[in-house]
Amino acid sequence: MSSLTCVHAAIRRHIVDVDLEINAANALVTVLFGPSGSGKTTILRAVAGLDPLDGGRISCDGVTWNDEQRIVVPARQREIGYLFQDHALFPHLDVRGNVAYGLNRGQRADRTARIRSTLAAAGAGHLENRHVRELSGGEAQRVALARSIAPQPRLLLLDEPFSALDTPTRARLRADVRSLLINTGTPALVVTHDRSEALALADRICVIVEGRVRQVGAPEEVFDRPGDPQVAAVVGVETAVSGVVAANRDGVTDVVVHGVSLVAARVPDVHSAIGDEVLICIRAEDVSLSVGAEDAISSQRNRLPAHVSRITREGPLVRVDLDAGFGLSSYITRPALEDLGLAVGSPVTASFKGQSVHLIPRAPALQS
Amino acid sequence: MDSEALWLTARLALLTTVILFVIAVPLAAWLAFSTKRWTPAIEAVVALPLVLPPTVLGYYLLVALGNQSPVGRLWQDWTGSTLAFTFTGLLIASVLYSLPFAVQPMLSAFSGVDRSLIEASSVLGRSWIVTVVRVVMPLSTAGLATAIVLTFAHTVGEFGVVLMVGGNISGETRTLSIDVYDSVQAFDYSAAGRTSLFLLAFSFVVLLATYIIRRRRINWVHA
Repeated sequence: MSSLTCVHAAIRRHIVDVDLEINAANALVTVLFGPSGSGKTTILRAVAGLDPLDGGRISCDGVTWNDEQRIVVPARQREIGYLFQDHALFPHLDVRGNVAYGLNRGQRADRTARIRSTLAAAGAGHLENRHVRELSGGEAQRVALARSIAPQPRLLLLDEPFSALDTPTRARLRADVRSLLINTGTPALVVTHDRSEALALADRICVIVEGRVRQVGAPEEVFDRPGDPQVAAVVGVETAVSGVVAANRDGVTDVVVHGVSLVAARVPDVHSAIGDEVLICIRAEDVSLSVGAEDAISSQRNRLPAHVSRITREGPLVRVDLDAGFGLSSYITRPALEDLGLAVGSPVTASFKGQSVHLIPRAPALQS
Repeated sequence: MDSEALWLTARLALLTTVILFVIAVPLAAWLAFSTKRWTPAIEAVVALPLVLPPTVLGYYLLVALGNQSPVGRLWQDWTGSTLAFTFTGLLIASVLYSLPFAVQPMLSAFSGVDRSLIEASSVLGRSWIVTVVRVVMPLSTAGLATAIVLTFAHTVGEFGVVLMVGGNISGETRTLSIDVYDSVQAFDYSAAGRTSLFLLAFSFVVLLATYIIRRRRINWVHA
């Protein structure tokens, strides 16, 4: 597949209204990212031909798949792979039977070899003779992955494929899926609401909120520079406060938040005039903390005196919430927490670069 | 017991079961997975023989199969014989009369098959027919077995429709249930008793088998 276009697809009562173009040459893996109920799965099912559209068009490589309410090309003729959330392996067949199911007559000659190599590529080579009932969740999903890629689909659709798995299994499978897609050159469309999943898999992220595509771009771009407040809330920027533009100078913008002045690197697309209200987004990962006086000149343009208001342990990291005149959060490691000797109420200096301050105009859309 | 009637009944039940299996599988699959708005209407038509008096069904069949109807006349032109009061006519009547007993167990079994398995089959490039044969049916064996057993037993037990459409012709349309009726009419209570006891035992065994099949959860793990 070289391009999939989903032009203005209005689907069911979900009122999904999407203009989406996927070009495998630019980005092999596209992630549809958004909160539950935003319409991601609805889009995926329509692309698979499992549900009809209410209006709009879906086409692939110039061939129309859906035209208004009509399914022009049925699911079975779309040559796609679909990885279901719950693997959907056939319980009455063994692993081999499941993988063989999608192979057509022409592919039957080298059937055994193909089944074996596909299973191996999906990291399930040792499961060939097992029965479906004997597989763990992660193993079953690997077999399902092998089943979906065995017929060499032109597009693989993945519907929250790892959501039913435990964390370590998920992390391993995620990495394996990405390399499998790259090795086989299979374009993929992935639906997820999990941030790390999106970051781990995507070449391109498409943020969907309330049935609309809000932003499309490379993962870093979307996560570091969310296009509007709703996207910022969805991708999980820890600090998002509103402020006012005070000055534009020398490639940077000065903004004032609750009387505190911040320096933000200017982004070409965003034209904020003095006095404009903007949303200021700062990722907790980008904020570093220090204690004691430091007079050295630093590239960190923002150095704010603050007080620790809360300390929360989140896995290997510690989230420190600060009061710097406005609420600010920082992720630091546990040893860093001990070295700094932080406790609630401790005075601390929060610093971050101008590039880490991302400004989103309050107006709903970016002017391009 | 009339051995001719026994043989006739067995033949009728067996043929009815085979024909109905072939008709009911696609019909039940269609009813289970169709999203058409008029699906309930077809479901109701299929279930009609459950509530309709056998005489009513028999009456309409008699009219439809008789040589006054287009179907009956066409058949007569073709074969030189009438449909009414023949084994073939009886077979057609039996198929219609036992239709719900074949369709209902299949329908409930097919509806119970996980929807995502059917969707998985179609995205893997398989047609509707292949999906039914390779996924839906293997996962509905208990329902299919129930349908077969019930169809056979119900055909053995039918009376009203047989009497209306088939009449009482020895070796042609005279089944065991008609034989009991006949014996009673002729005050031959001992013959009626023997046949009745046979049918009672047969029905019990069949129902017992059905409930055992239903109770046993199908275990897909190979030994």
